[in-house]
Amino acid sequence: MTERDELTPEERAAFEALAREKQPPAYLEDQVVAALQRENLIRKTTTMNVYVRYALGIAASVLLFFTGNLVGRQSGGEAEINPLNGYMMILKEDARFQPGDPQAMFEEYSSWMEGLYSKGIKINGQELRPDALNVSQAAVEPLSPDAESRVTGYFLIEAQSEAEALAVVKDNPHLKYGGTIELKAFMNR
Amino acid sequence: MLSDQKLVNDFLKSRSDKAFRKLYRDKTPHLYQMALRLTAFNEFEADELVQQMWITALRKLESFQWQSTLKTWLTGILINLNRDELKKESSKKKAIGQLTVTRSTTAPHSGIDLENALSKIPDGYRKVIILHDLEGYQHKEIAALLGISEGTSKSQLFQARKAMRQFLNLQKKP
Repeated sequence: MTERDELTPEERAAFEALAREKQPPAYLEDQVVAALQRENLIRKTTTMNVYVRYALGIAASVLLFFTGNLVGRQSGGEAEINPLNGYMMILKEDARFQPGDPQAMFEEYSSWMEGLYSKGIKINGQELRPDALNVSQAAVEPLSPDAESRVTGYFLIEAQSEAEALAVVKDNPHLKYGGTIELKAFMNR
Repeated sequence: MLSDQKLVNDFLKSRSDKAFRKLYRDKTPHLYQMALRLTAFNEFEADELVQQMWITALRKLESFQWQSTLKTWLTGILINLNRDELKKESSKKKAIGQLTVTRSTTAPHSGIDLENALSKIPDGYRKVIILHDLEGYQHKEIAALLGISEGTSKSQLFQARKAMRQFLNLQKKP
């Protein structure tokens, strides 16, 4: 290399070969978001549960209250799921979950449930508290309600095929708001 | 790919962390790379720098006039924060031409001589050579970003290249 003012072609090529981008470590995104929330520069994530409670003005277990009502209309009590055609939908939330307008969410869930009811699809479920205990042989560890990923409810449905169950899952409003759903078939031996 | 204006408008509309994360994921890889170079690959300092940059940016985002690109504006914030931090740590500043450093300077790939050399040259020079030779900014833009004259930018670039070459030559010697 020389002491000249301009870069030599080799130097220029060496600069051009250097990376312009580097993916930051995964933890940094959450760290930055948390700092921005502390500074009130971004809105704190409010879970769907909180919004729904707010909207309806009752304390807890609201969302799936409607499930109970609809199930009741089906069978006079909790819907009985035939294990041979049973599927579980596990509803999860993480930092990407962003609840929408409470009234709109309420109506979407009601509409979704009504749609299933009209098709004769049996369903029941339960909302779950965001906090939990993680139990192993070695320890019992509390899981924070603000954990990165939380299970916030489940549905059990009866469907004739995985495709039918998947169609039910895909219409669930939970997905629209950034939540995820794990679909699992009952084990039949 | 969403445009910068859409990313910013979506965020300002909702101030949600979901909208922010989209903005963050689009812009941070470039800024993080620059932060690493500005801090001589001190990852802790780079993390802090990026975090402070976003805090400052979000405080000012509503008044951003789009007279420069979003990338340039964010780069300016990053560099100014780094400069402020260096002022606070003035005792750590290295003399011109001094090629040994006391800070953590682990380059990601030790075989890359140039990256290593960039991490070793004095902080003030490093900014100018990164902006000019790596990022492609002109002296006029660098002067505006760093709050210096164009002449100073040219002079610092000359000194930066000289220091870089000196270091690379030293590395070549057995």
